[in-house]
Amino acid sequence: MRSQLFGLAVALALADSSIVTLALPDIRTQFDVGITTVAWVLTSFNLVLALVAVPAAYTARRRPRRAFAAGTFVFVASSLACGFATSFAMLVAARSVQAIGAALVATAALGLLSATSREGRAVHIWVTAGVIGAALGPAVGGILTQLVGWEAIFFVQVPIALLPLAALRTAVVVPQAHGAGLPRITPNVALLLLSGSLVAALFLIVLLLVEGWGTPPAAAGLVVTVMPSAAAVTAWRTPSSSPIGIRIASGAVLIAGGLAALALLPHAGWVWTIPPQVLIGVGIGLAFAALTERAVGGADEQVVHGGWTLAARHAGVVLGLLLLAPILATALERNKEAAVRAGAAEVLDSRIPPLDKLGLAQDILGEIDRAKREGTLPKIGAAFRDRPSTDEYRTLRSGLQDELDRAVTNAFSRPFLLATALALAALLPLALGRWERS
Amino acid sequence: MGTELTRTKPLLFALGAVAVVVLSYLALGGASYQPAPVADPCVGRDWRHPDDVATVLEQVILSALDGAACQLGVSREDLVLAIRDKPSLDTFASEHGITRAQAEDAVRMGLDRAIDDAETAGALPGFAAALARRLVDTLEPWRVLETLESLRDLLP
Repeated sequence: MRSQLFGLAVALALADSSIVTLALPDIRTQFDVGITTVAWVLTSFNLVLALVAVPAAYTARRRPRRAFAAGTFVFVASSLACGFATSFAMLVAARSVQAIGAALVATAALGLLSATSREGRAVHIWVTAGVIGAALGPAVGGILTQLVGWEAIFFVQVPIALLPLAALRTAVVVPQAHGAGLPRITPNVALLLLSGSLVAALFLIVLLLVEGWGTPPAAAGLVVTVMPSAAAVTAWRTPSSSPIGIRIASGAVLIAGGLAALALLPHAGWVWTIPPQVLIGVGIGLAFAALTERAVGGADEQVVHGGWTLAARHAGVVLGLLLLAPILATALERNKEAAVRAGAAEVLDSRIPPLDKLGLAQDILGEIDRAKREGTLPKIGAAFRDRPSTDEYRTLRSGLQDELDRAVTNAFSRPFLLATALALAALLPLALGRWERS
Repeated sequence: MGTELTRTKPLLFALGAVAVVVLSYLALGGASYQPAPVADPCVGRDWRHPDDVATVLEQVILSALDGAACQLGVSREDLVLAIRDKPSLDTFASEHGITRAQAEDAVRMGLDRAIDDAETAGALPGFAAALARRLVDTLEPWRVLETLESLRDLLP
């Protein structure tokens, strides 16, 4: 039970690296900031977490219980500050402080898990909980934003974050105070690259489902549980005796393959994301646990080396965000031009009453302008809301929606391809490490 | 040999699973996105229901747009998107290096094309077509542009 509670703490702390993904449009509207500015709600957390993970681990190694309690207090207080933020600067500042709390909680939890579980199992629970938390984040955040509002994301975390404190009183700890030594470069670089590639899997699938294809956030949340479920089952079922190098290579191949399949989606629709999600989920379950074991396992100072893996993973997330977001924005803008031209042709050639053609075209273009101002994708249905539902209008609407879906799906394929390259690049340091050893 | 195969079995399974999914998506057309093509404005289009007044009017406008777009070397759709408002029209003109004289020529060509198409489709009697052509030839082009601009203001 103690292990589960510490696992819950890690999952919650690291879910914050992705939980605001679907809340960004609402936050942007509330604080009236630009599209690139609002991304700092996401980036600041990951950047600060990457920067403070190792110092936090050095703090947590001697007194993990105290560090865990302090981290929880900082996390809870800053979560409340996020929810009550009255300005954008205050929200970003609170998110940065929240990352400090998350770093303390996550690194101290590894020390506490090591004391309560056998060595390999502790790392296993720690890394699986973190990855599942990050994978579930966008869906949970989207559902809360839709049902209550973006502030609810932060308020809901407060009681959940306090729950693991119950396990703290009885936890037995063995302080670690030996020389930690240098971080293991090869697995940490591979973790950085794989985490960068997973930005596409964690953030872009949800964005594609909700913003691209108009799937309701609650339904999208259900769809994307496939990936963390596959990851959890794989991590649970894989025997730790299986060769670590093979697990890492198989995991990286599966993640790269799943991302490549997402870049090649034949049609718009959630069902097409399921096979790639299964591949990526199984890949996560194999590679992340094995890489973290290689980076942490057997080391004298597990907590410090765990801190290094945390730093590598979240530096990878920042790298992924910085690389993938502009590529997606450029691809969307380029495909939008082609889709608008094709859409204009559909309207002009349609069988709707001639005098309504220009009016409808103006309404659609107005919707495209509105979507651009608000940093979202246009909703074709809005232009048809006050028009008759005759066969002619239904056919035109379905044709335009298909055109938009195809353009959006194709625009997402570029960042997914880049993510595939990042996942494959993770195999290089591993091959180099193997070559150096032989 | 046998042990090595057992060791690498998970990697072979992974490669196999990836191949199955990626190749299936490719076979289903995953990499073949093309936006719906827009027609060449210089190629004539079939008229439909030439007996219906509203459709005749629509076809005349579309033919005129085709003719003007052909003259300017752009698609009919680009032209429609350009005339939605003044800033779009200015951007379009500067992007394509179009002067006012060229725009006037294009409008005249478009109207001529519309009259030809209407006559061919039997929607405009011969004498009316001749009269319309004469009107287009004698009308000051700037007045045609002004009329189009005022029509744009009437749009919803």
